[in-house]
Amino acid sequence: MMPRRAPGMNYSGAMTSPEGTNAMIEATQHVPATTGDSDLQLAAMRSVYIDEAEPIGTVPEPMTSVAMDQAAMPLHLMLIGKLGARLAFERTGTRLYEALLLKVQSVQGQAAAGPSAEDVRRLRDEEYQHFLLLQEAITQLGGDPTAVTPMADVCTVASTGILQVLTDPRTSVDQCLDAMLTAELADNDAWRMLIDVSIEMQQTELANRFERALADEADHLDKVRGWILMRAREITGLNLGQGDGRRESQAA
Amino acid sequence: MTLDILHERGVPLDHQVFTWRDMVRMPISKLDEDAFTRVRVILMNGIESEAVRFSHAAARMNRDLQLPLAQIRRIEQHEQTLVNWLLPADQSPLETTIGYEQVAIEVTAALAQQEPDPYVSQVLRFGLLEDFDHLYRYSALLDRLEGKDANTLTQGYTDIIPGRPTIIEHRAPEDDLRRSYDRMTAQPITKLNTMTIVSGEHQTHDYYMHVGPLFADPVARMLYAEIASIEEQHVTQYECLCDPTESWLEKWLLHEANEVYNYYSCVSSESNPRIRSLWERFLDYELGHLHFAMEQFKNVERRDPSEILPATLPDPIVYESQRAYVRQVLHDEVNLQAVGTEIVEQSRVPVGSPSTRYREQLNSEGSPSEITAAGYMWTPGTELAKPAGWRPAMPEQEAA
Repeated sequence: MMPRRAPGMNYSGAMTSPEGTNAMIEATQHVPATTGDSDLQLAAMRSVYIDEAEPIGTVPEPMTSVAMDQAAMPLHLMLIGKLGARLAFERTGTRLYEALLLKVQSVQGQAAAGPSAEDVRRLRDEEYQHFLLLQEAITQLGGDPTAVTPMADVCTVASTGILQVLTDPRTSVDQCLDAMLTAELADNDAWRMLIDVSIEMQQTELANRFERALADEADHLDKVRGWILMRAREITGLNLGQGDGRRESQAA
Repeated sequence: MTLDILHERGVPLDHQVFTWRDMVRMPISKLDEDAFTRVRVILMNGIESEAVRFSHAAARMNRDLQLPLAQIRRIEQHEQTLVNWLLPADQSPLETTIGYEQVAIEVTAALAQQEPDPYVSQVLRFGLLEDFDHLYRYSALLDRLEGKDANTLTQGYTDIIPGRPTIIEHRAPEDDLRRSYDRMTAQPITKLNTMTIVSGEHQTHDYYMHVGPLFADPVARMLYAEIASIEEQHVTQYECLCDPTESWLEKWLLHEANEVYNYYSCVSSESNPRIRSLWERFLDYELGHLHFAMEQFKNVERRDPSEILPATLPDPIVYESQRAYVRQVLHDEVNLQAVGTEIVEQSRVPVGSPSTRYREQLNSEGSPSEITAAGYMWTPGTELAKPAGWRPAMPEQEAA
């Protein structure tokens, strides 16, 4: 697919149809709106459901007996829940990078800037290695790596839109990279939290292995950010990103 | 538990009321609920959906029945809403699809075994092996598109392996027609079974037609297009089983009886007390509908409903894994094909038959079901997990 950069006929704005828009504004002046405070009513009804709601699900019982102080159980469950979430994210992430790889291959030779197929393949492979690492970690802690923890389930719901962007044949590499940036930002923070919880659980060896995964993820984030910038520079011919760089160095 | 449907009158219509809060309840948990609760929710949505669909068709052909049909239909609409809204929002359209195919496998297998008419049972088994293959194709898609394991939904009850390959399920319309039961001689359970399967398959068709365009992935869109086409064939095949000489009122009566039978089956098997109380409520509602329809039948046709309805309901539909039965059917009948109204061995399909030519043309630019599942083998935790022969420990192994 050739990227389309010239303006086209987009009908979504009100300015496209001034006559129709003016007629509609006029109609709203003649027919009064409904009464009542919608914000309050919406919030009240949603609150009723929130109050009644049951949780999305539970973290499954450990599959093998792990000697544990009952006081440590909440932390253990949190760790299993978070490991499950990371596992689901990295597994779906592997599929996301496979989808990105296809996009990149489809425009190969059309753009100088941005990731090469080899770049994307490397990130895909690292996501996959992280998935295997998490599978092993959950098993080691007596959990079932095939179970969906509530946090994994919710993370998957949250990343549904990213998957839709990546698998849509109409989206450009730039649009896909923007979506991947969302994923990588969330992933970086989640790995940090996972390391913290592992340390609290005295899982030092695991925490060390997770540190290496976090280093990979930090690299992924840098790369995705870099590709977005490179492509924007190529398209505009401007040296974009300098302002952002200055802000970062001031903050540092 | 037996139910005397000719005398149990259920809840009167004017007591069958809803509010929006009542209809929109807390959904079931995708993670913590037994898969068969989801199976029942999906099937009962199909049963109610058929009730509404049939009622509209009847109203278009029977001026004098328009008001009574509309009165019942409004309640069915709200029952369907309450049931279908029990599905949770974290269950993606593709995950719900897995649930639909589990319904098509487990319920069809249960119906085929309780069906006394050998031809109807044969047709059920024929469709079963096709839906069985759909579960495999959709599971591959779920794994390869979303990175998810279909068994997190089917929960070990249902095998995820190829059935009759979807690519050869496409048939010319003349090979999808089936012989009907005879309304005068067929047993009541045969009439109920055929209505249940028509309901389930019709809603599956409609569901795939609705959600197919929600996918961004072109292969997913193609797979839904392909399997929706098979579901259309299944509706064609199963609706032929019903005797077309039944009067509109007779069919209405059977629809109401089937709703009673299905809610009764749900009550008999439901493990979740919150959901069971809903099945009990709607069982009572449907008994009310049945008796309302019986009155119409008596007044308009001047016939006794007991000519058509059994005094007591047959044994309830069994909601449990039909693995052994499905494997046997797969082993014995995977190579069967349809020629006209008959299910025959592959060797009896004429060379260049209408169905062969039809599917050659349809598949000539590629087969979505083949593309999606090429080389797919279900593995716990998705094919990416590839645990090198990993199997969960059995309880006795653990004890040892």
